[in-house]
Amino acid sequence: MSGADSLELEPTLVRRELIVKNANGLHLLPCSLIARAVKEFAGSVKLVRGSQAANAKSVMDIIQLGATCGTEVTLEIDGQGAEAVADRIEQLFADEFMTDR
Amino acid sequence: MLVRRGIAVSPGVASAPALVLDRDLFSVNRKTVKHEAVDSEIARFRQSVADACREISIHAEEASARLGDKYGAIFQAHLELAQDPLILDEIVALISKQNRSPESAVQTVLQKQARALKSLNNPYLNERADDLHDLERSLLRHLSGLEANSPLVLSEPVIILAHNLTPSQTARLDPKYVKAFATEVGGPTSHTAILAGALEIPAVVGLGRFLHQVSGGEIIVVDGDDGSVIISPDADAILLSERNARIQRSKDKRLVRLSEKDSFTADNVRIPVFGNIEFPHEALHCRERGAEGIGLYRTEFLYMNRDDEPSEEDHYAAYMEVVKTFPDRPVVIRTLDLGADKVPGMMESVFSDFANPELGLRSIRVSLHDKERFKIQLRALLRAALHGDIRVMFPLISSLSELREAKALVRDVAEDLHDANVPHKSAIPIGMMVEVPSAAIMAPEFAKEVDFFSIGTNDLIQYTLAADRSDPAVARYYNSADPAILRTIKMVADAALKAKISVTICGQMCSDPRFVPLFIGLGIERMSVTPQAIPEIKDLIRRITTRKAWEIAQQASEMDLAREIDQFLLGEVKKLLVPSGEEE
Repeated sequence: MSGADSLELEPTLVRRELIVKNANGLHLLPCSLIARAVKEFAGSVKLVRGSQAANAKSVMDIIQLGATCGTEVTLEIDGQGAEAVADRIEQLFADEFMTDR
Repeated sequence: MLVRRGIAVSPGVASAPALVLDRDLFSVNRKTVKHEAVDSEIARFRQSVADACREISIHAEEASARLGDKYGAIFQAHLELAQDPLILDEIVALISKQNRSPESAVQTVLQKQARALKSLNNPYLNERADDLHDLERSLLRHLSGLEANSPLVLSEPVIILAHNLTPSQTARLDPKYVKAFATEVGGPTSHTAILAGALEIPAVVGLGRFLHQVSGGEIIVVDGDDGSVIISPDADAILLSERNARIQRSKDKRLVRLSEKDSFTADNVRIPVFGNIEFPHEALHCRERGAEGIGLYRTEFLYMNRDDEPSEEDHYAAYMEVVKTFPDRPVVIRTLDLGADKVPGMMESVFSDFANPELGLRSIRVSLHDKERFKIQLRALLRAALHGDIRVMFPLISSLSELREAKALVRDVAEDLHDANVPHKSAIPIGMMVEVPSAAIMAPEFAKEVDFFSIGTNDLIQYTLAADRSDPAVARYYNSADPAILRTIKMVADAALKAKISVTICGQMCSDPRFVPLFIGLGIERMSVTPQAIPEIKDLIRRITTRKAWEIAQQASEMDLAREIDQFLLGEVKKLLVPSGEEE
């Protein structure tokens, strides 16, 4: 852990706009896939819907966004490697979580 | 105060706070923990999460393999839910900040989350509340420790109340804190009842639906002598039960003192009384109560309270413990009688799940089906036989070919041991249980090929009368005093007498005093009973002459109704017990 390394990194905050496309919205299976994708990530990951923000490491927190099909949510990631994590989650949304097809 | 009546299956009286185990057997009693215990309680909670996760992972793999990844994904989702930091942190906070018990904290948090889901008014998410409920039950189950095959963690005396307890669950209860148990279902010959006797705690079963009237923590009196269970007794009822318990104890002491001598009838005919045991340490209980050896060691319990299969050394150590307690007395070791209602967790795959397990792969059939497992037991048996009077007995023999196959295996094992230069005794008495009607019918033929018979009345009654002993709906058909049972026992006793081999009765029926004169009259010369019944049965034998017993058997065999025989035998045994009862 050297301070010099972290200073060289790009700004770590990543923000993406995502749309829930799978028919049943962010229910248990999609939320569990999101939580699994980010749980090893050291920084913070949030999913924001309007004024409500959820900790993406918590299945229960994401579920309670009540995001149905067509809902727009904002992904906010802060920490080293944020881009990679954002890509992974974006892919999950794009694949409709491989569940409801 | 509320009094319920059930079937008394293990004697004694006890009172303690209720611990209600629901169908999944988790405890839902304790709301708070002591401040000093917070850290260890949090550790216990974390362990239960780890255990639950491990179990869910196994389910996930199984579901993926059997039904496809889509189903596996459901369990993967449960796994994430079980590790949800939001949920876990909130539970830990309740334990550490409010001294709540992990059980209570788990319930509070998961039920709150379930309500939150329901309030979203999304039908799809409403159903997810069920997933949370599943998780709640899983965590509570793991907190109770029962699923993990470890003893139920208890720290103070309790009376266990449950819908039902399986044999292996019962075996896991720590008798130090469990003062009694009472269950909604079960009958007098259920294995739960037998085990309660083994643990020497009072028990009442078959109480019918009553758990909804108990919330847990209230005082319960279980009277294993008269079959009553009192919920929240008043002061008078507690006093009365304590007095009854004192009277019972002093009577017990007197009988135990008298029980030290070998057993003879009033006219000096030797009728030895042996003990039935499930665990090696019970041999000592038997000796203390005047047993003249072990008439039935149910070895399958080596398999019932553990996760892995016992090794040859485990078997050997268990047999040696019994032999050391009875170095110069007979010790009859019954080979594995697994199956039906005794299926150990690690062997579930061995048994078929057909609707009628009593007629399926069980007992000696399991041993002959998997000969390698059987040989492990036989090796240990022949090795231990070097150190005492060990006799081997096969359960549930139903045909001569089956008996010959089992005997051949004993010879094979003896040869193997001989070839390997392992010290052992190759010639040991071999006997069989007579508990299938076919064996009773063919008793004269069997008698030529075994050294002894032992009549297992529980199964013999169930198979002869075609009545499941644990099904309350047909309980009235399961009748020990049925004339067909008396006649069957007489057939077996006659065959044994003719072939000059010994015959023992080792079923529950023999622990019931009313049948003892009848058995003696039918020519049964050995009894093997639950340890607690030994002094009482020996006392009864001392009071009767063989002449009188013969007359009782004659009269009973002329009756054609079970009820009539039952009443007659009860009357006779009362007459026998009265005279010296007045001496006290």
